[in-house]
Amino acid sequence: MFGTYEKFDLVRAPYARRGSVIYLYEDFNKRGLLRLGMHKSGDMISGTDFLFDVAMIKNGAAVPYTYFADAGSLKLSSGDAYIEFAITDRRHLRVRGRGAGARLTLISTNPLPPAQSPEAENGFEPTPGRALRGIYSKPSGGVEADFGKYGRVFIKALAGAFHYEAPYSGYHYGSLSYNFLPDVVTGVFDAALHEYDGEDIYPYGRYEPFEQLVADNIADFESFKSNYSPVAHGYEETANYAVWTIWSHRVDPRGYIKSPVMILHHQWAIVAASWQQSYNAMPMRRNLKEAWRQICTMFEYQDERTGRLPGMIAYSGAVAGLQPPFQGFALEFLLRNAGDDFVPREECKKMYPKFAKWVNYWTTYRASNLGGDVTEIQSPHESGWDDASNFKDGFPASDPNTMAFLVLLMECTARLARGAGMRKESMEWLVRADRMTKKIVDDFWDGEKFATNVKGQPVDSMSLACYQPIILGKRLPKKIIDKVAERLMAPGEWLTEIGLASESMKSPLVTFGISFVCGRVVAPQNMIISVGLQAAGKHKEAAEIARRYCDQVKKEGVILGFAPYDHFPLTGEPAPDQPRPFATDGWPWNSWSANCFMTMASSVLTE
Amino acid sequence: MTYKPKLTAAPFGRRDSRHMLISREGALWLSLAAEGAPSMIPTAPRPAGLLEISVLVKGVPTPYTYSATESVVELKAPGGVARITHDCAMRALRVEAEGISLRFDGKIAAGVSSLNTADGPVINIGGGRYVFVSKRGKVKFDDSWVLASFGSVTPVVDVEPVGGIIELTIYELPGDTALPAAAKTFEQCAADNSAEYSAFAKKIVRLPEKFSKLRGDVTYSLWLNSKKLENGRYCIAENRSSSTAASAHGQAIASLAFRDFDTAFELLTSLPESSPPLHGLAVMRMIDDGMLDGAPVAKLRELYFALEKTAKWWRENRTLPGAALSYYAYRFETGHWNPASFTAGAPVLAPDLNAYLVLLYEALSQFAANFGDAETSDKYAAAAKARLDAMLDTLWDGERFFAVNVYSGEREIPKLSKPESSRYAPLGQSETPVILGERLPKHVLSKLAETVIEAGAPETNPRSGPDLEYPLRIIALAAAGERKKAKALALGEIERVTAENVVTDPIYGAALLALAAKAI
Repeated sequence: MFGTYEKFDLVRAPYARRGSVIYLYEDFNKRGLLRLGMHKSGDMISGTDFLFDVAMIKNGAAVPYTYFADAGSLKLSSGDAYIEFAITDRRHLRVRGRGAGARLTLISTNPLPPAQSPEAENGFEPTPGRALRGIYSKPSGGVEADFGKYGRVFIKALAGAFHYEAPYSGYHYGSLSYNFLPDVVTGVFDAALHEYDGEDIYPYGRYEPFEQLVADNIADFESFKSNYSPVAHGYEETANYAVWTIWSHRVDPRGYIKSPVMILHHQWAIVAASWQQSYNAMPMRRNLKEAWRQICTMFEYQDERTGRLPGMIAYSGAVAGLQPPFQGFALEFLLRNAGDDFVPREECKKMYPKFAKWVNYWTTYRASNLGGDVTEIQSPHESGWDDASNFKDGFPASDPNTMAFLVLLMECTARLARGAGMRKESMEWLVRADRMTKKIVDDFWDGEKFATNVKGQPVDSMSLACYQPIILGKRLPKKIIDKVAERLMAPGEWLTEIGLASESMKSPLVTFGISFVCGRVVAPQNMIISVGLQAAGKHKEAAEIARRYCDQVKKEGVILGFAPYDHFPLTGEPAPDQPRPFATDGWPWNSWSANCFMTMASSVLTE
Repeated sequence: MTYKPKLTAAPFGRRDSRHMLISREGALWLSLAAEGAPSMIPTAPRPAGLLEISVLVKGVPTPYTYSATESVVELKAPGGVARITHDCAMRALRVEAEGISLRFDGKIAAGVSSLNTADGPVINIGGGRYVFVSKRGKVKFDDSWVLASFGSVTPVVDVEPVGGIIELTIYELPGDTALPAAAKTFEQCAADNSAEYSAFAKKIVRLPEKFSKLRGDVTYSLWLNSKKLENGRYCIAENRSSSTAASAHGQAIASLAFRDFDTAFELLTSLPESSPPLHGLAVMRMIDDGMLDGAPVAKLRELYFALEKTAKWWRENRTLPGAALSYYAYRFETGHWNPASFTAGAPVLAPDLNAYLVLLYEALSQFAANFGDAETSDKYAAAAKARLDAMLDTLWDGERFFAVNVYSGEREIPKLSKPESSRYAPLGQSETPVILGERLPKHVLSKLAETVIEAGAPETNPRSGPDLEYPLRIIALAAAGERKKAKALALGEIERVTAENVVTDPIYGAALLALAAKAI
């Protein structure tokens, strides 16, 4: 799948496995160099003390290597010699080699010592080994090292030899290298590298034959793929990459995380975003039980008092913030595409009160003074449109996008009430949903677009966000649906060769630099709007948008956002590129883009 | 009992409040105690929520002076005065001013989002959320949103007096929380804070009048850095202003500064699993001082179980099967950056560790005896004795204790009498077994006492901080009959530290209080 001679390498995509915090990637600046990291600390690769350079050692010296990776393993080769990594879902990886050894050298990419660092206070240069707090050969065999906030690593040689070098300066460790050496007779080495947080190694069962582990990994991936519906013809290979990306970003319970979730990145933003869990449900139409679990997973962290869901979660806790009430959109999509009977009565009973509380959170803590459940948000992140121009007039803002999500959430809450046998409550929720839909149409549609409202005034904006309430589908009057489709498909504004741009190309605010949704062509917005157009009966337009976006992913990889032009069409001026590598939407492969691609390729494009 | 903190050395703050005022570059800044809240983009720990406080006269920033007690900070400028105190019940600071305007400026903040609400300005800044509510005073605040920066403009809250007066409340509350109504006046809040401080200070060991400044500085530092953990118990944090760190062995040392059972118990059980295992020493001090007499049985049992758990951990994880002595696997387990014992290479059988464990087992023996379990008591007493005997057999060479590498048998490199550089100065682990006092054979104790006296104060190592065990060794010296010399060393150390004017490290401060109480 990935490799030196493959269509995609590991410069933007991390190599990882479901259920593991371990990842490997190719360094952008030192091409050909693989690095190994662990995402559990939350550090980005641009500012961490815990990365290992991977070297292949022949005759005592590092040699250049090529590599190839698939779901089973990552193999580095130099002539006939190779070293191979296979990650398990039991908090360890295996590394073996033939005809060569491997060296893992600890490095730091922290540009500056932390403010509290005794190094900084005392004029010391930070060292590559600064994360190492101690290393210890255990009486029972194997070597354990303590890396402070990065946890512990234990290495056990299963074949060949292992030794480490960790010079101590009298104050801190200057460096650390782990050396795996092949047996002089067989030319082979094999070792296990465990990672854990406390004192004890995570139960790993037994060390299976390496080939068995590789086969198990492949089987696990193949099994995961069966959750997804087939994609449109011509997109199968890209779908394989996309599902692999989702699979490799699915983490197991650990720390604050109570059940499996999809994190956004391994190397950059290491969080499970609240609304993205429901995005992940949408293309899982071959495993609706798992799709439903994905939609419900953030309710495990629901605030008892208010009903609020966390904006994001990490191993260390909930991250401040609030994300859109997207669960209704995802569930309504599944109900519409996969039938109305996959949520059993017991689940309806269990989840109805939680959904109801979540809706009421919005209508209570984000209530506007406009009545009819109209809400007002306090930050753009609450709408999902982080830097969209419809928020240029500030906050609080009554945003029809967030309200459209709420309408669908109310309807799904009604569906759960009905499934739980609560007909009266179900009807009440439907009435509220209808009333809110009417408000959105009556108060926020200005004849051309849906306008965000700040302090009683509509915001003058050319953002794509002005059309996202199309997700209400046929609940909207036909004239609005027609107008939205017409505006979006008109040349020269939002529609580009690679999908819908997030800001009109005629807008003076459009930018392709460090920006998320003020001009760039971004996966979630293309998915949401194409699904919305489809729901509104605009199948042809929906498919066209999806095709353009999916073609771009097919060409460039599972990246979140793309600049549609190298210049600004309005002025003709050249557009600045995003810095790289960086945690922006234009750089890393990520699970969010992958699930958006899968939804579009499997549900919108097929028509 | 009034204390006047020097704000250039320690923030104005209090137990149970996240608000702090710190002095930087001649001005006061509002800030928040560090909390370990996760974020999408990891940042280095530092004071959170920094807003510079300026005094405005006719709209122009004006120089001001400030002074503080434990309960109130007062700002003075030509034409007026402002006073600030904590209102813990409201999670707020209360501000009163007369004749001047105030400005709170987030000029060094990044990634701020703010909002003008009906209550007043809300600022989400650096892991905290302020809400400014003015009861009297006119508030000006710009909450404009800047698309390209994904945040608001730099937050600047200006408060002008109405009728010459400002009455302002600065909450620090999570979102979706109703603002609590003020139940107390400014003066009542200030009086509450003073009373709380006084009650806390009364629990600190008694010292002669000449140590009143030391006692005041340390008491304030302990109070300020008292931090409530998720288990509901207070511990002493290293520095709440900029760090969330609190060490378990630090709690054992901090407990020595208290003369009441409840506080010492709370500290020892807040973070019970200590490395190095100093909790036995702390409990033995409580036993010696009679602090366990009349203590609630449930608490005593909890303490007993915590000590048992610690003993078990060292036995199972840091003791070879069948061995009498335990070892350190990592340098940090000693509590020091550069422990002498590790010159023998890891893991090491270290004399200080085993001395602590002797005391731990003795404490367990005494607990068991008090609970009427003679058999267990004997078992623990025997374990303590066996460990001590093994220390003398294996780690004593007739002149000094030394550490031994578990695998190679190699000894630690002897400590240099005059270290060439403090960078490589090993610490006094070899002398630490003096804490065993009369449990040691007389000639061993005498030799150790002699060495402690001869060595004097360890060279200050700014990288590793003070040698927390040094005061413990002097206390032991006094207990070993060398009262005069112990007193001289104690006075020397206290003089050295107080010459720097203020004690900012609460744990070392606590050790000094214990030193003053026991050795002088």
